[in-house]
Amino acid sequence: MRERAPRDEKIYIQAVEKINSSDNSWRLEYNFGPLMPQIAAIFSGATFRAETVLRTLNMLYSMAWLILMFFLCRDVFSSNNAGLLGMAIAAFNPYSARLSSEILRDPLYMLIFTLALWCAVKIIISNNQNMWLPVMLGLLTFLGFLSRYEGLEIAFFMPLAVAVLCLQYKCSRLKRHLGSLAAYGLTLGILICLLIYSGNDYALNTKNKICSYYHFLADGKVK
Amino acid sequence: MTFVINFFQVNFIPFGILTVAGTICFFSGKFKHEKWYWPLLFIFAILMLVSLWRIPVALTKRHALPTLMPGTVISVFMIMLLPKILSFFHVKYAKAIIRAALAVLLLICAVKTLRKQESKPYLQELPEVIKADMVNNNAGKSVLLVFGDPGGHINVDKSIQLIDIENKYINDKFTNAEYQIPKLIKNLSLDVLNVQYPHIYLLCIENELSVFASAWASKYRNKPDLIYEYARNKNKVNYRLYRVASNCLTAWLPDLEFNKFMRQKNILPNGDFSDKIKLSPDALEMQILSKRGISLFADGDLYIPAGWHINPNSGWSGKSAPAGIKLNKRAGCGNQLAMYSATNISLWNSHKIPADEKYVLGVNVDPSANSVLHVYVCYYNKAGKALRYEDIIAIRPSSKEILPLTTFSLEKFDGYA
Repeated sequence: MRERAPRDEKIYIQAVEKINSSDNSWRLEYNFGPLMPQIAAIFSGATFRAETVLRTLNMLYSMAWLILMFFLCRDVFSSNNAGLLGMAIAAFNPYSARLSSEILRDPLYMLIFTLALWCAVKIIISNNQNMWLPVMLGLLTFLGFLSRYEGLEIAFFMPLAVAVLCLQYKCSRLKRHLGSLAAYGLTLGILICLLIYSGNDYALNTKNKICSYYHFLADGKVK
Repeated sequence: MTFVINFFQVNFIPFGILTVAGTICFFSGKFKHEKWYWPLLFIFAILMLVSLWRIPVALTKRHALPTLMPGTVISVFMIMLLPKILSFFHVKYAKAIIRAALAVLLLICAVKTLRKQESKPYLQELPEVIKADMVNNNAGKSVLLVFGDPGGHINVDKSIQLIDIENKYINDKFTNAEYQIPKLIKNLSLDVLNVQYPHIYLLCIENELSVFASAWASKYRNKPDLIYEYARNKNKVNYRLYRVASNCLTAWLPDLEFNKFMRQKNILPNGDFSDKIKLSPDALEMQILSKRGISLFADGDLYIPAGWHINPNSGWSGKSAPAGIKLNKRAGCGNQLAMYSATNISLWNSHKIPADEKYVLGVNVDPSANSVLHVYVCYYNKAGKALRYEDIIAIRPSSKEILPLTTFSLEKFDGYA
């Protein structure tokens, strides 16, 4: 197998160990999404080493992602064969196979991203019949954001799904679509407010992260 | 271009090509009646979304990862479409050919995933070579500039600062290599590195013909010494480690003596806040603050560093917590200046320095959460009129630290800063 990325792996292992020892300095020291280390910290501790838990969880996320790819392709093309084909392509992809063997945030983010994609596709296929799907999508957007700053892009899934539905059905059932957008927005808004209210500075650091990518957006060029 | 390369690396080239071909076929407009048209249109929209915002940003392969999921769905679409395309061209046994091709493709993917990677002993040897060299030359600390991607993590200890330069290989295919190097290190100041570090180590990845050393020497008049070389058979590249010795005396001083030396040569009066003066409630700044309804005397007498002035025209409002300024005794020498406010506040030094010069600035900070530090320079003409401000440092320090030395050049004009 390819050489591992020891620097990133060490950072995540240290973050989990610090969470287990109730040392919050990891949040200032490591500027990345807290979801992965927090989940790993739940399962590690006195019984299991942080590294073992992180590797096991990453492998489980990758396996779950493969199953989701099957459902996604099956539902898009309404064909089990398409689902199997999609799962095979995902399973044999060299890059995703390498990621599943390393301790990185990417397998978790791929899982959340694909789940969000699947929810959005279900909304389109079912013509927005199920009100729980927008709520689920709101939760997944929040979780995606917590796993990586780039998870903010999942926020566009619901509006795009509604736009596709409006194109498909020529804006009939507009009230229902607006209602589902409202449900989605409300779910996401409540979760983000809870995050900010809890004093977590991750949401507040998002602006800086975006500015670090796009320097022309930086206000005062804060690093 | 970086994004396109990353896209094909993440999706694997054959499936990347299928994704691109699938995009072209989909938008040919022949599939609007199909049941899967609208979900697939959504998938395309997502692919566009995750791609477009990543294009202007130079990111690594991992950041192109979200293109994998919609890319895979589009690849499935294209593979499902291939039998129809081949039938259109009257190819016999189209399905069998496609299945065989797919099997071969998946086999190639499996081989690529499971192949044994070539060992990279230089990743372990480099830190040892640098450490041994430092010991031989009695250097307590050094900096390693890495040009290009060494293909793994170089595990250096705390006495070696590792700085990754943009992923560029300096080789004989590079024209004007001596002009490429400064472009690559444009955000670094070699003057600051020379002042602090007795040795600068340069790791570059070249082909057999060495260009880097001569390019560096022609630009910086300081020929690097080659101290390590590893020739990698794959790609016929050489990993070369050079050493450039600093000609600054300060680079060889231990940290405490270095700080003492910098303090002695400090052109900013009272930069360590050791001298303080008592501020009277009748002082002009205090009167301006009083008119704004702000008092900084809640804790009794107010002391500020001598030669420094409060800017009373903005900030200092209490909001949820009182604003204030305090001078605390610091271990060693000088005082620690504590400023706190819910809004932006500033202190400025009235000392003027000539413009058209290059300066080095050092700052020690101990920040609270979410605090931001700005250091400004104000330009004055010879008549003493303030012309404009320039932001030298804008940083959000995450912990108590001595910020890396910053160099700044003041614009050439007939005045002061």
